[in-house]
Amino acid sequence: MTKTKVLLIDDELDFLKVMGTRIQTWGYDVIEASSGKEGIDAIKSKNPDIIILDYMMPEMNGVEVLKEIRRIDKKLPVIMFTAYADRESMKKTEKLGVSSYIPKSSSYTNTQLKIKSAIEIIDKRLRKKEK
Amino acid sequence: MKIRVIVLGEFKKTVDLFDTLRNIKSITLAGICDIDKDSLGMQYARRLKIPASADLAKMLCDKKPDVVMGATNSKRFLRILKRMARRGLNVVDSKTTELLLNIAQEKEKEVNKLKTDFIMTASHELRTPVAVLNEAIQLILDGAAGQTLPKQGQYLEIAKRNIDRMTVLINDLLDLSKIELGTLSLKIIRCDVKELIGKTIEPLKAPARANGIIIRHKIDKMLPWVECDPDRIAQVLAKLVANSIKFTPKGGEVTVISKWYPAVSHKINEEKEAQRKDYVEISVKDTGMGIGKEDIPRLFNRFGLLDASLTRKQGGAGLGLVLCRELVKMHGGGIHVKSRIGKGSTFTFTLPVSNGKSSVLQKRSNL
Repeated sequence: MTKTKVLLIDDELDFLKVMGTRIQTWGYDVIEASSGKEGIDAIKSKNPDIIILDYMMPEMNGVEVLKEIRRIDKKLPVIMFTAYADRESMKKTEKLGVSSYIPKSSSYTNTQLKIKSAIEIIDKRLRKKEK
Repeated sequence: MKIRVIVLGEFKKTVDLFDTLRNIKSITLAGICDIDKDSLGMQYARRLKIPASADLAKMLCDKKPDVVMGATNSKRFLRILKRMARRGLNVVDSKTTELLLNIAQEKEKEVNKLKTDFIMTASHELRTPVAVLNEAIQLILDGAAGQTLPKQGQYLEIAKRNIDRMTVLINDLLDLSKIELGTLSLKIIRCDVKELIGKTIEPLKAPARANGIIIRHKIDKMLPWVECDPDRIAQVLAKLVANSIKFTPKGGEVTVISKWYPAVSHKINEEKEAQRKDYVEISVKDTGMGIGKEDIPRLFNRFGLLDASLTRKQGGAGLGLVLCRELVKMHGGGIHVKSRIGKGSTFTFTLPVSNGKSSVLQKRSNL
C-alpha cells in the first residue's frame, strides 16, 4: 500500500519543518509548501491525498487558497488551522467544504493529537473507497 | 519638592481618596481633619500613622499644607473651605476633589488594562516559537534525526525540561491575564473528587518516586459530588503538588487529603440561624523545608510576582500560586497555608458540594 500523501501549507517555515517531520513519523508522505501559491502548484504536480492548510498567511490567506483548491478538485479533503475560534472564518469556508478545523492557538500537544486523528479519520475513509 | 496636602472631611469613597493620594509620588498626605474623631477617614489615618485631628486651625499651623482638599458635602465644611480660599489658602472644593479622584481611578484602570493586554499578547506570541522549539527537541529525542549519543540525549533532556517550564509559565501568564480581563470562564459540572484527584496525581507519582518522594492520597470514606471545573481544579492541584515536591527533600512525602465537611446549621439566637454550607476540603501536605512566617502573606500576593527575592527563592513558583488562588476564588472558595520551617507545609482549598442538580454552569471571572 502506498503511503498517503499529506500536503502541509503554512507560511511559518520552522513550524512547517517540525510539523512536517512529525507527520512523517506517523507514517505519511509529506509535501511542504510555504505559501498558497506553492501549495496550489504542489497540488497540480504532486497529487496529494490530504491537505492541511493554515488560515493566516500573508499573500494568499487560507480562504483564498481553499477557493483555488476547490476550483481544481471539489472533493480533496482539507484540514484547516484557525488562529482563534473565529466563527466568521468558519462560515466563509464551510460552504467550500472543510473536513475539520483545528485551533492553532491552544496547547501544542492537543493540536498535534487533533491533527493526527483528523488525518487518520480521512485516511481510513480514503482507503475504504479504494477498496 | 512634594506638595503637602491636608484632607478636610470625608467622602463615602474616603479610603479610595487617601489611597490614591498616597500613591502619587509628588504629594505628601500631611494630615486628615474631621470633626468626627471616629469617622472612617480618621480611623484609616490613625492606622496608617497619618496625623489626624479635629482641630483644623492647629493642623494648618503645624503642618503648613500647600493645598487643602475638601472631601465632604457638609455645608459647615464648605463654608470653612470658602473662608480659607478667601484668605488666600489653596483650596480644592469637594466637587473638584471628587472629579480628580474619578480621573485618577479611570487612569489606573486604563493602565492596568494596557498592562494586562500587553502581557496577554506577549504570552500568546511566545506560544508558537516555544511550541516549535518543543517539537524540534522532541523529534530528535524520538529518533527522527537518527540515533543520539547519550551525552546529546542528556542535554536535550535538560532543554526539554526547561521548555516545559517555559510552557507552564506562559500558560499561567495567559490564564492570569484572562482572569484580570474578565475573559476566563469556568465550566462547572458535578465532579467525583476521588476520581479527579486520582487522575491528577497518577502521572506525577513515578517522576516523584524517581526523586525519592512518595505521593499519597488520603480520602474520607464518604465524599459527596462537588461543583467545579475539573480541568481547572486539576490544574490547581497539580501545581500545589508540584510545588510541594520541589520544596521537599529526598525521602519525603506529599499527601493529598480530602475531607468532607457536611452542612452545619445552628441557632445563634432565637431569630437567626447560622448556616455553614456543605463543602469538601482538599489539602496538599508535605514534609518539606517549610515557609517562613514573613513570606507567607506575600505568597499569594499578585505583586509577589514582582518581588525578585521571593521569586528567586521559590524558583518562579510564585506565579502558579497566584493563579491557584484566583481559580479557587472563582469557585467561591479560598486557599490557605500552614507551614513550619523544617517541618513542612500544608496548602488547603475548599470546593462547594453539589446540590444534586447536575447542571452545567458557565462562570466568568469578574474583576
